[in-house]
Amino acid sequence: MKYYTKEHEWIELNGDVATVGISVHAADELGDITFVELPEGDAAFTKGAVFSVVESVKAASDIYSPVNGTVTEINEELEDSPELVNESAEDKGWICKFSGVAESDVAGYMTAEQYKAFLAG
Amino acid sequence: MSSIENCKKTALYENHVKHGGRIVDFAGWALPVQYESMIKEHKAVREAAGVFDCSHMGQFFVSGPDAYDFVNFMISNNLDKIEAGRGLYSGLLYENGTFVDDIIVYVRSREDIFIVVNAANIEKDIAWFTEQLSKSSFDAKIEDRSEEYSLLAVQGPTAPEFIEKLFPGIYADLKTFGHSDITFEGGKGILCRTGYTGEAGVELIVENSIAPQLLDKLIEVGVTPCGLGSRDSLRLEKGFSLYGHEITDETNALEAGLAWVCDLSKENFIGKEALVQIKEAGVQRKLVGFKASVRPIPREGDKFVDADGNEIGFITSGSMSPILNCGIGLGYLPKSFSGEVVAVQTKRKLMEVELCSRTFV
Repeated sequence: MKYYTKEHEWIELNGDVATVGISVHAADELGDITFVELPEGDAAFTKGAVFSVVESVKAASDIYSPVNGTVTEINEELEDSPELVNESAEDKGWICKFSGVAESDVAGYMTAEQYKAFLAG
Repeated sequence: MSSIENCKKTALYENHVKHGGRIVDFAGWALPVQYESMIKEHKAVREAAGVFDCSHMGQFFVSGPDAYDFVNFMISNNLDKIEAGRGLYSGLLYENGTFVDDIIVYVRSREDIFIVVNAANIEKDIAWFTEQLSKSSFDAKIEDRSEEYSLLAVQGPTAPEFIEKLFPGIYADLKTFGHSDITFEGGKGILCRTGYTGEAGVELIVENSIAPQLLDKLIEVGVTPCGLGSRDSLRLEKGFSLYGHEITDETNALEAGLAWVCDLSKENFIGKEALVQIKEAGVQRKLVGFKASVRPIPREGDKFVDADGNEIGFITSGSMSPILNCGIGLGYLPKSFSGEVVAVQTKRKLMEVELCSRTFV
């Protein structure tokens, strides 16, 4: 299932593994992304902690962990090609994967449909 | 984004929406920050030609027997350096030598002068001019006609070719800052050989009624529509100051590296006395350029610090340079600072940046 936060992150939960990135809307708002600071592998984050920084021409934005978990994989392609976040924010532009994520972590988040309505509102 | 609804719109607003511009609040104006991509638009201007809507900027017209002498008393630069038909970049200073604004003054004749001012300063500037005029014995009149005019900046190495197509036989004969009257589809305007990108090109100041057709025509012949995001990165690569950043009512013209627009040999102008004193005493700080290879790069408001972490200066502008592909920026350091690198404390980390010329590209 795919979920969205009000901070414009998306989370795709498979079992206890959550793949996380920023939404197409967020990538569009930031403009040309020139750098993504990736978390260290094995690093543990609690909900709300800064796990990544996404930098565009105009500004740098902190990205907050939407779940409690441990980083098991990072999208190394973003090191050389941060523009993947603009081109494919919710697919090839994923930032990292967290493991040990409880389903209750995502309970309060929006579905794709709810997020769409949230953006329109 | 409900705040956009409350923003002022230029005559080109519908064009921006039509061409896919991403509209943001630019100091109270609904203007595009980019169309497709800030980096593509930046490169289009460095390599070909781009067009910017700068209609939020202000236009003042000064007339009367003493128009020339009045304006020359108001500004730090000296109109005697130019002949009629040209323009001059200048500071507009307070008595203490800090900036009311930075402006371009165009002399049509000694009795007919127009001035282009920064958007955010229109009301402040017209009040300042009007107040000073009323306190003086100059026989002149000043009018703010910003609402009547649009300003389209067409910039880039191939911009002159496009301008030649639309307005044949004008550009090549103009010197830098030269200007000429134009007509387009029944409306009037002024073509000025100026810009804010460091590239060849013009700024077209035209009646609002013809601005939409003019923008569409420029795009139709092949000029890339550009948002104001790339205008900022373009000016920063050339080290041009931006009001509210490098120059403010708290920075004086000499420390801002703008001594070249302050003619201290001119008989009198507002701010001269203070600048003479500052020059004699020596400036306390200097505007420096820096390059940053560490990411995220330093931004406006980040601090220069010494080895003990004490603040010794601050950053006024910071951006990615699409041409150099690294961080660049401007900021103030103590005049006495002599190192080649300096530490910066950003929101996220302590890093070192390399000091360099303010002309990055």
